[in-house]
Amino acid sequence: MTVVGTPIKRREDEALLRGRGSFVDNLTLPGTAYMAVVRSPYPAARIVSVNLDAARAAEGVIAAFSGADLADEWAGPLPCAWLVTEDTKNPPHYPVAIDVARYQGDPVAVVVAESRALAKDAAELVEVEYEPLPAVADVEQALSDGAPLVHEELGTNECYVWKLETDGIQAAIDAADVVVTRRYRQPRLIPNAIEPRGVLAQVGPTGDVTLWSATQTPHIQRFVLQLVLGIPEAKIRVIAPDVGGGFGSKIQVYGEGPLAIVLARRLGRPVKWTEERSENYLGTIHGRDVVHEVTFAATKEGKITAVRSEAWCAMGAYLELVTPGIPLLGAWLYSGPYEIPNYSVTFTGVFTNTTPTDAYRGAGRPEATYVLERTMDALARELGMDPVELRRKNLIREFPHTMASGLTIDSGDYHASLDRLLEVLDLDAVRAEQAARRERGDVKQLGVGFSTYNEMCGLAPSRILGAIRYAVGGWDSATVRFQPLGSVQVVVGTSPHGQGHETTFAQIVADRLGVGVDEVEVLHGDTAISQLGMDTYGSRSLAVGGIALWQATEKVIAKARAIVAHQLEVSEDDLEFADGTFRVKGSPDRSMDIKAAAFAAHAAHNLPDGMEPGLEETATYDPANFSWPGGAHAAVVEVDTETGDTRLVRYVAVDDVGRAINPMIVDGQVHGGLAQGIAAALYEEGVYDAEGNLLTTTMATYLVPSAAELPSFETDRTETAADNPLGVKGVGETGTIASAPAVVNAVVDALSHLGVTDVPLPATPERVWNAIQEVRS
Amino acid sequence: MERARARQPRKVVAQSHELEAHPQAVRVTVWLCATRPDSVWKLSPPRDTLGLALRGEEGALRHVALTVNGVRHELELEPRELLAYVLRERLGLTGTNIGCDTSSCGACTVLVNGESVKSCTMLGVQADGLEITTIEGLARDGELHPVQQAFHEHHALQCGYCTPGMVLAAVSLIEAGAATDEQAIRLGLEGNLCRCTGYHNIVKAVAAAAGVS
Ligand code: FES
Ligand code: FES
Repeated sequence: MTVVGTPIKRREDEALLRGRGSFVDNLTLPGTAYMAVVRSPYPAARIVSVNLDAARAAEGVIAAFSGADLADEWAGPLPCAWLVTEDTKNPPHYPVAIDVARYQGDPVAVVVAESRALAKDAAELVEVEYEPLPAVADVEQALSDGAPLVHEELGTNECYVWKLETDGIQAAIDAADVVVTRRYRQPRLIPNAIEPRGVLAQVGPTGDVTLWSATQTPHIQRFVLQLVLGIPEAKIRVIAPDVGGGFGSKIQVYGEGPLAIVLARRLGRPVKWTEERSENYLGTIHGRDVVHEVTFAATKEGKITAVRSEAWCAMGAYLELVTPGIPLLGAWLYSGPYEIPNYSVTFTGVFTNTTPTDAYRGAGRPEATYVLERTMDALARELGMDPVELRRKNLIREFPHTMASGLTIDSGDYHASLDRLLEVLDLDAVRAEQAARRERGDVKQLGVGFSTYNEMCGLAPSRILGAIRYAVGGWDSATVRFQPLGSVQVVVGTSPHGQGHETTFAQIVADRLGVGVDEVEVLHGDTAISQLGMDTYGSRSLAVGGIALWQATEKVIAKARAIVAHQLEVSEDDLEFADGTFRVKGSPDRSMDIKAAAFAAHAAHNLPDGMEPGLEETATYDPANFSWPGGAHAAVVEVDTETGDTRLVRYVAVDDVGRAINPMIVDGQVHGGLAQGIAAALYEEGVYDAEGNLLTTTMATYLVPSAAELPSFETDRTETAADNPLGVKGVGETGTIASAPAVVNAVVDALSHLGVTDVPLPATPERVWNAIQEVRS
Repeated sequence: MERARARQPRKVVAQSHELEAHPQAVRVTVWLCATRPDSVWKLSPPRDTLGLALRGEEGALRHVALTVNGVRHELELEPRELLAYVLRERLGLTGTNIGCDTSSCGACTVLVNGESVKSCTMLGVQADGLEITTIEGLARDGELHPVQQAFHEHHALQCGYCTPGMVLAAVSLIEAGAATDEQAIRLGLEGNLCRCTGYHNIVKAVAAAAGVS
């Protein structure tokens, strides 16, 4: 029976539904001590003194340290793995600030006590004397003359300038019939995985380290921990147990991990730290915070001839693991699914006195897609063209397609997705309803917005990563192991936190080996079990890790084939393999199943000369190209023109994510992605005041949407096979990348008859109301 | 001020001008208002500006007897201990997750005498004499509760962190007869946040368990 392509239920659910999840905060070791971090309330301040006496004297306190106390513990600063230009500025960043705090939430001291509550009580007793310094929170202000410097010694807040440009861009713009230039501000988004971060560190008597961490990246953690602590990777074991969502915010190697290890080593006790939500708002990376200026050039018939984008991107106060590289993940997407011959993209990275930015679902690609799809609508208005028609006219028709920007899209059929979208949407009916409401002058107006998109994920071909100065590779690895009696153990280098890898990967292996899906056990998230891996982010787990798994499975079959051929005394070419059994071609009664081959491999009584016993193979896969999902989305919104209140009434998503191994899980990924993009369009905004105080530090002021704010989604798929053995593409981020512009385009469309052409992000009632007032006055 | 779409408006009295004038004031206000009214005045406000700790009133341990998942426990509790932490740290029932410190996320939802309550909005001492059901106590004879089963069948969980609270909130909603249609379910689950599923499949699962389409 084939299980690939079927919506089998997840094996992950059972433990989670019964409250038996192994989230880090649920784990405790004998003798565990608890860590609390004291953070700077100032966006910028010199640390004049840190008085720990009262904290040290408090009930249950084991130790307390300032940044200076711990300065000698670090073999190096927390590294950034992606310095995008030769001269990218990367100021040193330590787990606890030593003399200057540079953002609100920067750690300045740490307390360890017998319980969580006592640690927090004592943290309050730490007296830090600060000398507040001028701070800057806004990217544009940070680049202005005389702006406060986040890092005095750099003499500038500019971190880097990165450019990708084809020849003749200016000439193409000058020669165009129509030129449209727009500015967009995409605010900060705060990831808000519902499980905050947490670590539990244990150091053994020989200096061996075990770190349980709420992380997406156990392998990357291990690597970085050596750089920060000087402990060889070989002595470090990182375990990502059940992890309660990440969305990019658990990729980074934050200071609290190394800090807990250092304290565990100094105190001879396991040390645990669990982030609180208000701490999470300050201490965990944010996403977006980018200002764009985009120019489109087109013929009067609507053929786009050039796109030029300039963006100013907030880095925050320090570079986290891949902060400067985030814009680059979108650098090839400013032409999106369209054929545009002239191309220019410039990014300026800017330090501000704010929480560092880094990957948040989509990372760079939602930013690019947002400005692209908003500007498509602006161009359509300028040309007096229907926005769907304009898109159709410019969509890429043939694949593989090499873009002006240099990369090649392997597969897709963007027209098919758009056709299907219009069918599901029933655009004519929506337009008719819209016209009727306009005719009647209804208070509640209807709008429909589109986003045809593609994206670049499955991170990533190692050679390309090297060419754009990423420090390591983008391959992944998997092991497939037959146990002697025929059950199968799979070990993967990816590290799920909600994506259902155990189920999806078991489906792939079970089908190919011809064993029951329940006979396949999938192990992950522990570097002692999974030695090689590059973890989970950038919609890479199936598109890269899944292919490694496919290859390891093929290697197992090849070895089993050799064993069977030897035992049946036929040539390997005479064997065919299906449904778990090798049969001799032409005499199907001569056969041996793969479990028997596995036993034979372990017994090793009669193996081909020179063959090693056991039936276990490992493969690593380095993709030749990125993964290129795409599709067409539409949002229908209802806008109250008197209050500005906007409700999303329908959302239709048609995606091409290649072959769906488990359609139920694929749909779930799309739903979750959509919710985050829609939230960015309508609700979420991390707000700093001019001095760098974060105003949105709770779920009551930062509006993560609830079920009440969202509709049910209408999802469908078109399918083109990706250029890999499974035909699969990434799916984790598509929804987030495509949806924000569709929703805002819909809001603008609802008000276009009034003359509204733009509403800033997020389109809150106040902003919508203001946009209406502006055109009315 | 535009950020007026506060979740559960009945509980949030912080005004927008306070947000601008006094960023830290908002959280304190929200916290106190979101706490069950009878417990509000027993809490002294957080002293630290970053909200790292909520100090309880000084004083002796209090003797509390509560029944959790059918088992009676006698505990000596500090008056400031939140029920969520009593369950997790005193009783080892770690299925009750904690996702926030402002009573906003609902991850910690349990049933108190059959009704859903965010266990971080209640002090352990307030549970004296009450019956608590946590996610660990929902299955019967090893069989998943119909709501748990529906979550499994409709793929209503991804990372699973919101799940215990979401399931218990749904159980209480259904038992109250309030899960009458999609919109009612969406409104009824407003106090429980999920960052993974976009709620689509959660709503489907709850509707299925409630027997509504
Ligand atoms: S932990 Fe109780 S509502 Fe968030
Ligand atoms: S399943 Fe992850 S937060 Fe709900």
